[in-house]
Amino acid sequence: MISKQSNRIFRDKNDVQGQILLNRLLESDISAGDYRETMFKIGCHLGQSLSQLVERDKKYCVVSTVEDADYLAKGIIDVLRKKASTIFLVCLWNQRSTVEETNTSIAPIYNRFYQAGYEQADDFIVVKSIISGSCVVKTNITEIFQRVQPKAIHVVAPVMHIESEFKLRSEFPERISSRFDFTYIAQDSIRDEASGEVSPGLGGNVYEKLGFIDQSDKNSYFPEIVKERLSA
Amino acid sequence: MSATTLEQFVEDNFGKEILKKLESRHRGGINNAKGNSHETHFAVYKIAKFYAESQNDAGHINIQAQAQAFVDDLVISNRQAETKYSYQLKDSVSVSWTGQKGIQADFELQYRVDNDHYGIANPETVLVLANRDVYEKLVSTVPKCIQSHTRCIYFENPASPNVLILENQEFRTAITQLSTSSEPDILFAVAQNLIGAWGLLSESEVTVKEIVDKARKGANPNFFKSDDDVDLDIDNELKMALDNINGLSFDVKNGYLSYSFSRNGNEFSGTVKPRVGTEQFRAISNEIITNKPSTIFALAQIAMSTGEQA
Repeated sequence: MISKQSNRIFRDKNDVQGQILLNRLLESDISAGDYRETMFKIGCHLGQSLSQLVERDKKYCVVSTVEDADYLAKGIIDVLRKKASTIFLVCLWNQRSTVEETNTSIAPIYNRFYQAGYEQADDFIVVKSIISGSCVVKTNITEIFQRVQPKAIHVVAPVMHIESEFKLRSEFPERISSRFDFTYIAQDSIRDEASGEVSPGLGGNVYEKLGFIDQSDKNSYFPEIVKERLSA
Repeated sequence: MSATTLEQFVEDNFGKEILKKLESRHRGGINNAKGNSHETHFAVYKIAKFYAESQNDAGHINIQAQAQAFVDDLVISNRQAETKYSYQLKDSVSVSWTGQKGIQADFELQYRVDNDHYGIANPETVLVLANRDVYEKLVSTVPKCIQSHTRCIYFENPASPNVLILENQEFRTAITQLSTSSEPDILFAVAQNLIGAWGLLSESEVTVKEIVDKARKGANPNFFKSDDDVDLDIDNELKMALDNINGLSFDVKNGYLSYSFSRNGNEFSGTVKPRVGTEQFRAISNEIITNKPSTIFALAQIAMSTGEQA
């Protein structure tokens, strides 16, 4: 496992807890249940880092992909709730594919959940388990800016590819990209160009690791944290 | 159009030096065009706009990058309507109408070629600038001798078409006219399909229709609007099954069934992935009719599937 991480740069080399949690995801025999639980813990851990940016009087909105909603995003929300008075949720179901002729990823959104009041949020927290080519995060931030004009966009991911921040910023005009900041545990510099997967990343295909059969399966999933809000 | 070749016309009317300039421009232009996002994005914008506005005439509108011409970056012509637009694109701060590298002379020559050689009554030459300050300066100083046929327009050159979708209303409107939805994620997909098709076909003169058809054919998922979708609707049985769910509204637009559920201000909305009328859509429809879901969660479980195994 150590050799697999040789290209990994931790944001804070003293963040032992973060390193332990990411290493846990790389264990080859990890079950889907343990992977989900570890993702939740990583969310809590990132939530702690984000707490430093959070102000009690401001309103926040967490924007999550469907696969991250019940684990990573829930961990973040659970921790931030202790500090921020109001946290809304937006959940998006992206279907990622590649336009072969341009070798460009697209991630159209087939389903959307917007919690009542989300438009009151000052800052948006855009959550993704891993940011590689930044296509999904780009799509979701663009979606948000069609509806509201947040003061800040906090992009949060356990692992990012080393070029992702630059790539993501270049997808937006300066008036939007200037509102971005990034919270992550580690950056990886190796990416498989064919699959787009970052190595060691999160130990493989995140959908499968979380227990989904494939992308279609995760896009048929209705997260519990969405159900709770929609049933309220 | 005159009986002589373009090269002969240029040599006869403007001399050997100008012919050399034309040939050299053509070689250089082809090299520079490769990987030029400004020209690609502008071409895609024009393709979408001409296609949407021309209705059934798109098969007569020819488009060519790096034509053998004095104003050569993009040439769009319609022989039937006898229109011709020649575009020169510049993403530079050192652009001027006059002087040693001034573009006025090329615009004059192009007008002469289009008018006298091709026989177009009112050809247009257009300077497309990516730098706002340069545009502001040049738009108000078009030389009098080319004013009658010249326009100067601003079209930015960002790294990604996503920026154009967010910032350039005309680009966005043009792509929207071809798309099943005006949401930016869909517009980005359609723009990428058009960029791909243009990349494959831009080496030769093609019609706007051929490019859009190619883009549509290669699109997966396909978010191109189709004339066939206009009258598409869902069965009454499906409508009745959907009406069972309190708080649900639904609509068929441009071939897709979308639905929206609202409770206490919380909103869940979605689009069924397969197009209405496809086998996959029928599978999803049948499952909804059979199971008669009474909650949004039960409906979503069916409606969010691909219909492949439904």
